[in-house]
Amino acid sequence: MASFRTFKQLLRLCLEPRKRLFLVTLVAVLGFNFLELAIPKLLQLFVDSIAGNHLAVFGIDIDSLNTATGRMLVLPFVLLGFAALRWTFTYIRSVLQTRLGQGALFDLRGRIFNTMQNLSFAYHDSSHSGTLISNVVEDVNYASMFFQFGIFPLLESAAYAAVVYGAMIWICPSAAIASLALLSLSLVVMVLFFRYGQGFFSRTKELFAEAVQLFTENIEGHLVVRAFGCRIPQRQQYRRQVWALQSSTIKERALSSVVSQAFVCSMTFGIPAVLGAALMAARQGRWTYTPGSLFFLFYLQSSLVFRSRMFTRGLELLMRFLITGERLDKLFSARDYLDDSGTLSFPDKGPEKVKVEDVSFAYGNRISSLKNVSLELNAGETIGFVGSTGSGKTTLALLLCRFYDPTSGRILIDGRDMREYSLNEIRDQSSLVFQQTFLFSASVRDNIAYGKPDAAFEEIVNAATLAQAHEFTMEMPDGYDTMIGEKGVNLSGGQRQRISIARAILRRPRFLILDASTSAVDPLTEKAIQSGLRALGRSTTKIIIAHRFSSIADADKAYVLHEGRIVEAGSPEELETPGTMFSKILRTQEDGCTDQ
Amino acid sequence: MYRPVSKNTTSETEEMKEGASRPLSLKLVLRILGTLGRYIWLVFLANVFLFICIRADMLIIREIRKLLDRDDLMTAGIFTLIGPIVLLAAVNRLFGWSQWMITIFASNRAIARLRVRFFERLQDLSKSFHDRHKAGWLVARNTGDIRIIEDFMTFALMIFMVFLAAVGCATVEIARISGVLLLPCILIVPIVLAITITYKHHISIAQRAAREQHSRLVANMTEAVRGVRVVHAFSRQEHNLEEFNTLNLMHHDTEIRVARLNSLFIPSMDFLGILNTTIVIVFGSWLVSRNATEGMFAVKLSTGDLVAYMLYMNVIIFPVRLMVELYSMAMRAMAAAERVFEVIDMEPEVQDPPSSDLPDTVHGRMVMENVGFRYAEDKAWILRNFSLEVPAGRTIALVGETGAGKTTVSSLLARFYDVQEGRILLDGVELKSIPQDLLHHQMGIVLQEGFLFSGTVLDNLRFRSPDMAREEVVRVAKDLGTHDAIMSLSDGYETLILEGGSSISEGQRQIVSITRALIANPKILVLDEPTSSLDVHTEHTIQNAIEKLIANRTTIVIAHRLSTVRHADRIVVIDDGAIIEDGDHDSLMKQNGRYYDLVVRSEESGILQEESGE
Repeated sequence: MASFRTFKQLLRLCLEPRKRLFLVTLVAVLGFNFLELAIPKLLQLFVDSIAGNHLAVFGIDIDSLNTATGRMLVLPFVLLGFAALRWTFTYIRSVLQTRLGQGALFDLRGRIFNTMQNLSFAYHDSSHSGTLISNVVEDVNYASMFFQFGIFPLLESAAYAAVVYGAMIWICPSAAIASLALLSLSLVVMVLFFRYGQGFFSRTKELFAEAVQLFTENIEGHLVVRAFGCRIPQRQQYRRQVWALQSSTIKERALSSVVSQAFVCSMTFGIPAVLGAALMAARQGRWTYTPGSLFFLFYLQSSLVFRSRMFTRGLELLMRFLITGERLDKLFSARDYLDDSGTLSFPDKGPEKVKVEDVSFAYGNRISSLKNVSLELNAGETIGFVGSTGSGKTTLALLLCRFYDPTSGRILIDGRDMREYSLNEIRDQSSLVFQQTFLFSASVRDNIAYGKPDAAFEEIVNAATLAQAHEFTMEMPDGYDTMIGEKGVNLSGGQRQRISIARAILRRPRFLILDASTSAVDPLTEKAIQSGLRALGRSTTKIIIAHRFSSIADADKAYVLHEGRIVEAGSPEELETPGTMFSKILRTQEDGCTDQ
Repeated sequence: MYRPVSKNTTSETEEMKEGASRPLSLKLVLRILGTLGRYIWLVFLANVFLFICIRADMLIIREIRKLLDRDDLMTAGIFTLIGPIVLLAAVNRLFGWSQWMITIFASNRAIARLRVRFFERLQDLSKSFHDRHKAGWLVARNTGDIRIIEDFMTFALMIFMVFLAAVGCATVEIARISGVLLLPCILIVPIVLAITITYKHHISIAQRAAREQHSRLVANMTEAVRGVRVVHAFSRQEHNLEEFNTLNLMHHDTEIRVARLNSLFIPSMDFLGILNTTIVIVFGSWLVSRNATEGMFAVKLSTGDLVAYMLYMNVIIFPVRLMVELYSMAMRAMAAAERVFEVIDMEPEVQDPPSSDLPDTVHGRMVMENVGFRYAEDKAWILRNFSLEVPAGRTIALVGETGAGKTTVSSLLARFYDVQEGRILLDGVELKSIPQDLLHHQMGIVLQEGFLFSGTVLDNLRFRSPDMAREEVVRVAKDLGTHDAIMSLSDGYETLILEGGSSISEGQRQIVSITRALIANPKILVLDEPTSSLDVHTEHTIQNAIEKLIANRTTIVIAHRLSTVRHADRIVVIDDGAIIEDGDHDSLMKQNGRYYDLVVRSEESGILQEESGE
């Protein structure tokens, strides 16, 4: 089974770094289980001593200790001593187990986190972030459950069963055979369950995810539902979904109860079976009956009932973890990373020239977003890219920052292929302001300083001022310390854009790329931001992607993109002459306002 | 505007509560049981079964006791000896398993009902409620809290019953052997209680910290994924991993502390069990050795009695450990139930009248009469003495700065809120006397951020009438001029929208949501125009569609585009909750007032408004 292989890999991944701890824990678990047996064994001695049989503890012939009073003086202390020893062992064992499990979890969480944040854009494009997040959260939860409550109960109850059966075989083989025969029945059920039962678990999971999605959408879109008067149909849909989910949950639980019941049943019926087998053996002279030893056998078998509950609970968690494991395996084995073997870094004064040579690019197996694009940028220039949605402007910008590698063609920086430079160098020297602004749940200050956490406060204020974010920040209750995002104040689209511009220019990048990043800003503020950008001087090459003419009026040169190709190039003034594609794009807009 | 809106502060304090727990409250427990509805008798049945199951367990021990005291142990037929035990084992399993199945069934049905009720209540609660509570918080109630309640119903109640039944039965059985044997137990009970209470105190603090850290860990991870592009752009990976691992380590340490407490407590209980047994054995042997024939200590204990006693003690000690687990589960369930029921108990502000006064044919004349509105009692008035008349079939454009009250006007017309003063009439009928669904069926409401549901574009377009033929949908889209734009999506009408509509661009989303409004063919249109600047082609499509949409329909449009304003029959300029200018484009331009300023300022972009902040 594929999932078992993944499981083994995951387990190795988690346990390899702490092999010694694992071995010590195993020893502790086994030792603890022997002690578990010592207590009923001592109780057996008690029982037999009371029943008047001959017995000896640690070589002390208790009978010789003269009368019942003498016996009763020694045994209680031995018993309590063992109980204290067991107490200590339990404690040590639990602490070791937890260290092991939590250590493995710590690694796993860190690894998941790091994998996620390092995977390339291509990976994140193909997976929806909402699903990705909920999967990861779920995976981490199931992994926690497994490492906290699953793996050790499984190991421990298995170890306990081994010790118990060992003891039983030693004391009375026929009783052991009776019990083992019943146990094997439940093992068959377990194997069948693992082979055929997994579907139910994943089905419930899917239904749950669907129900949550339906719920979330109806809450987020509650106004739309209301506005269309669709509350009743939505309600019916949700009810059907929940009903399906809970029915599937019932099935899942019922199914897993078959396994746990198989174990509990076989162990419960094992009680009369063991007793019967022992008595038969006694009659045939294969076993010496004492009340204490019968009690001991009974005790062993009935403790197995409890252990089998523990075992099956572990099994259930294992089952869930297996499903998770497959997903984690997929995540860990994803190879969507950019090649980061380049070592070159930029010269101190920054690169002189960037040359895009015959570059084409396609997302996944979709049609090309860029087709044979070639252009040249000189350091310090301001370049504009215009074109309608889907013309390839954003793609070009992403390639220039090397968030993707071109499908064909290459980008040269000072004559060397971009891939020869270290990825960190390129990232550190370029700042991209994304079309869709994303701010973190942190203060304004931390958001602006995101790319340069050690920036001085003056620098932050300065960047905010250039991006026209200073004024409104100061109006907020705590100024730069105001929290934004989920738990903070609500910012308008324009304000968010301005903060993200400030975040980008704080780093004084060699390349600054603004992707429609003033779309929600009013024209006056936009002008102010433009003069702020000018203040960055010629040390920063600026690339501006925009819909509006006003946004690129400042550019030294502008390129018009259409369906993935550059169709025109020139200064904004040149391009504005009638008849050009550029002017057509700009004209339509004004026509829309004037001709009607 | 920058005040941290009340919703944020409340949701934050409530979020902190998430890790918290409440003391047990009988009222809440009963309320949780109440969700079982008619399944409650199943729970009764399950408990009866459980009792029978445990009783059978006790009887097995009694059989062992008898067995050991038999004189003919070596001669009697094996089946006469173990037959009763087999029978009791069968009873135990039959009732045990049935009890479990019944519990699963009943609790799942109850949870299904609770989920649906929670959902329905959220649907019915007015916009004001949703303004205060973020979707994420509500989703967490649905996924987290209801799950906790489910666990409580499935496991906690059972554990509690097991505890009661086992301890009760075992005590009775011990008393039947000899009442004197209960004496050592009385010595042990206070110690057990003292340890349990101390432990419970420490463990609940640690567990709470662990839960809080866990949510922080998850939140941190969530942001890293959602903002992964920014993380890359600013190469923050290492820094972020460090941050994450600090939280990760903290959580790790807390979990170890929790486990350490557990590893002190659980073996202590076992130890006390052994201690108790030892005392009893010594005490019992002493009793036996005294050979007394009179008084309360005149006890004759057989081997079977002693063995049975030890086994019964085991039965009593074991559930004590579970009780602690039960307690923390119950406390979490109390907090969860409190939050869920708090929502369920809320009354929607906007209520439906019992019957409708709206005539069958609606003309679409809307009148606002001296309307006063504020979002809360302690907030400033947004609108005061506001009157506006929209004749049937006419278009009125609302224009003004951010925060002037335009959105409030449109929300009131759609009856997302109720007015506090004055009234709003549709064809002379007060909105409060029209059921919301009926009103909304007459009304098309296009919100600024057109929310799309996951599914195909086609599903979204025929949101109101899912049975509508595809051809019909296409015909409307063609009329509206949005057909080409929809066809240019990767799979045309069959393009899949992912959660929240993130798979298509903002402009395309708006095109779909405008088309969706027209397909519903409303009498009245309330339109909040999108503000952000889009590429020219999309912009054009949207403008044309809006023009077609508003023709011959009563329309109230919050206009951001010059072209839309020019098509309106009347333009109303709103400032600070009052109408300051009123007339058509030309006359307002002549006035050289606020409208004139707005138009001049927007010449270049074609967009009328400063910024959208609402």
